[in-house]
Amino acid sequence: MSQIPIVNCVRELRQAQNGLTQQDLADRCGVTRQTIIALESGRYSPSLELAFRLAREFGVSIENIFKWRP
Amino acid sequence: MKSPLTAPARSRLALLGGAACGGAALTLFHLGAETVLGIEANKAAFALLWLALPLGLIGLSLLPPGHAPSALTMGEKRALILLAVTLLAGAWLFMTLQSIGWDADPRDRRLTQAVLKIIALLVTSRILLTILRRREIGKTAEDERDAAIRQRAASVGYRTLAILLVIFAVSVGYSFLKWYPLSPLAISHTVIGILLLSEAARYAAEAGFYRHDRT
Repeated sequence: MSQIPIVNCVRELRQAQNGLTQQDLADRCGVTRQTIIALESGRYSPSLELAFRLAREFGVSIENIFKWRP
Repeated sequence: MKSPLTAPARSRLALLGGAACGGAALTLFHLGAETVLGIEANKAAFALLWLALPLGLIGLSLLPPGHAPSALTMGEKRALILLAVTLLAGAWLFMTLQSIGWDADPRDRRLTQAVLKIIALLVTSRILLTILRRREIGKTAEDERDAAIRQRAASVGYRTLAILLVIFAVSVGYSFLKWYPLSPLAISHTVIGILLLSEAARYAAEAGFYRHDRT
C-alpha cells in the first residue's frame, strides 16, 4: 500500500483533548483502535463518514483535520 | 481459583498445544491406515485435528489487546485462522487424492469421507470464528478498514483463481501434464483444489495487508 497523499492531525487533536486515548476515540467513532493507529500514521485514508465523525468528536471542520499533501 | 499463569502465557501454551496437535495430525495422515499405539493412524489424526482447532482459537482469544506481538485485530486473527484451515483442507484433499488416485470416483467411500470431514472442518471453523468475533467485539458493525482490506484481499483471490484456471486449462489443452489422468473426474478434483488455493491466497493477502499496515 503506497503512502496516501493526505496528511492529518488526528494525533495532535486527540492529545489536545485531555489525553483522549486511541481506544476512546475508536469507540466514539465506531471503529477499531487499529484503524485509528493506521490513520494517525498516515497509512489509511478514512471514508467521508469517518472523517465527519472525527470532525464532530474534535469539534472542528474536516479541513482542519485533513489536508492534501502539496 | 486464580490461574498461576498470566493470560499471555496461557495463550502461548494453547497456541503451542494447537500447533503440536496439528503437526502430529499431519504426520499421522502420512502414515495412512497404519496403526500407532494400537490406534488407526487416520482416526488418531482426525481427533488431533479437532483438538488443534479449538486450542488455536482459545490461544488467539486469550491474547490480551495490545499484548500480542502486534496487537492482532479480530480481522487479522480471522484471516490467519482461515488461512491455516484452508491450507489444511487443501493438504487433506491433496493427500487423499494422491493415495486413491486423481480420477477417483466421488462415490468412493474414502473420498466421500475426506470431503465430508473437510466440509465439517470449514463449517466448524466459521462457526467458531463467529462466536469468537461476538465475544471480542460484540455485535458492532464491521470496521470500515477491515471491510476495505477484505475487499482488496478478495480481488487478490479472484485474480489468483483466474490465473490458476488459465494455467490449468492451457496445461491440459496442450497436454503439458503428461502424468495427469485426463478425465472429467480428475479435472473436477483439480478445479476444487484450485478453488481452495485461491481462497488460501485471499486469506494470505488479507493477513499480509494487516501486517503491512502495522509495520
